Amino acid sequence: MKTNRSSKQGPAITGVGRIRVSEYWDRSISSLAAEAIRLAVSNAGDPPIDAIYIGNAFGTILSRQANLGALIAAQSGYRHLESSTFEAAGASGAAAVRAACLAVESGFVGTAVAVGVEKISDVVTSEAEDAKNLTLNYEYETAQGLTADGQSALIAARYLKTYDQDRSIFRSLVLNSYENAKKNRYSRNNAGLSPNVYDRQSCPAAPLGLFDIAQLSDGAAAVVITRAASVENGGNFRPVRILASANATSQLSIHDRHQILVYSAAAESASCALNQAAIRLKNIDAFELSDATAIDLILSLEAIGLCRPGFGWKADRLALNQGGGNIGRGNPTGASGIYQIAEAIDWLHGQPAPKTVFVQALGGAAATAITHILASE
Amino acid sequence: MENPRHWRLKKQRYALVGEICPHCAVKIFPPRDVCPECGLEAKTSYQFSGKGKIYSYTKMTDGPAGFRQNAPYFVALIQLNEGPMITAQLTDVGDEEIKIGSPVEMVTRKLREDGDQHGAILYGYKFRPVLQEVSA
Repeated sequence: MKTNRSSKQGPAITGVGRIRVSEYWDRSISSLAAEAIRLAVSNAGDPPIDAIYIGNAFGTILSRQANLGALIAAQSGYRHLESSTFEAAGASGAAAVRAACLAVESGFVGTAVAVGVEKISDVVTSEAEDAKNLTLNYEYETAQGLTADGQSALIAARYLKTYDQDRSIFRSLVLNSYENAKKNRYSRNNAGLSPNVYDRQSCPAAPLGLFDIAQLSDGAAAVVITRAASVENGGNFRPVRILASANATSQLSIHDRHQILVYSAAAESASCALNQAAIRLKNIDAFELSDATAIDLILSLEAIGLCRPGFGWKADRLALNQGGGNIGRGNPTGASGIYQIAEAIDWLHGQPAPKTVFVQALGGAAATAITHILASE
Repeated sequence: MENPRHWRLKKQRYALVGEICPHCAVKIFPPRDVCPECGLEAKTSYQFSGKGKIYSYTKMTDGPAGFRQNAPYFVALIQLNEGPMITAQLTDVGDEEIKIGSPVEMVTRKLREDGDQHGAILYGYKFRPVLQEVSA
């Protein structure tokens, strides 16, 4: 995608659908995804759909189910449709959105649905945690007894040491996330988090506490994407333009990175997206950033250039994670990238409405970063 | 049961064998046959000394499958003296002795068992505080 496009160029979102992030003991992965797809398509005014791209991180292990494309397309009521899965850990949903953008922009596909789905509650918690650890390097991290939360803790511990801080820097970010989630009707947590409860939390991976780590949850969310040029105005849903879509990676293992406190994939993906959209960072109105743990959010803010190194925890004047992020809303890993997009759309359709929202999803410890920049018409 | 994998990794786990780039002399661990610095082929073996410093660490109160029964334990990032960083458990330490920057050395220890699945007992590198020599 090139820069300086007119308002009718590039892909646009014409419908969104999602279920509340929760635990759905009585439902399957395909049932959750199908509901989100049907809600999104209905929201878009029931256009003909040419492809479904699925973002999912752990279905092969948690639901013992591969080839979700065929399963979910059929369960959603579509026969013979193009459909396949995209996996990039916590950025899987964003990868599906990017696939839909590439598909409609190429001209091979007229209208695509990007759906993110995660079904955690089919197994006991320890098995779900083991699935989360699949995002590590198995031979050199997991085989040493490290977990995904432990990996974030290693980064966080070094951050606190480098900048001579203590773990209290996570407090206001986390409490703020829970506060924002109170207004999100699709959030797992609507009751907020009392500072007293936060202060009494256990530390499963010091220096990260229980509430500094987003809770794995079930969820499904979908968006309908087509070319802006073919959007007809006048429906119920005010279309949202996708000004940029960029994916960048860095080393999977944090021990392979030159600077552990620099999320270089997040920086690269952000700068690539800003170039595509021909917009400067200071002209972006609002941000939806990834927070599988509190340190992810801090280092994203620093990598993108919103805060100076060592000050990411002080981002209190920024329009940030209105829906509560993964920490407040709950973390449906492979779906979270599309919940972020949906929450950005809430923002664009809200009052007062920002004109542009920057959305970035991270996979693993920011090994993958996928950025989308959304704009109202 | 992952016997081929454990067999394939034995030089790394038991002897910390990595690679050295014949083009830019960077030392590489884990080995990957392509130099992460210059991007050229790097297949020359290089054995690391096993000495390094703690770069960061955390106390795991719950581990992945196969490690849970050993929790709590410490996992650290170790900056090896030759340059590369690796992830490894700390061993032979008490809670109060661990500090970022402390010198450590590699030892071979049991990493995990395959539970009740009759699999291999997995051994590999862990790091302990450098032992002080005691004069006789």
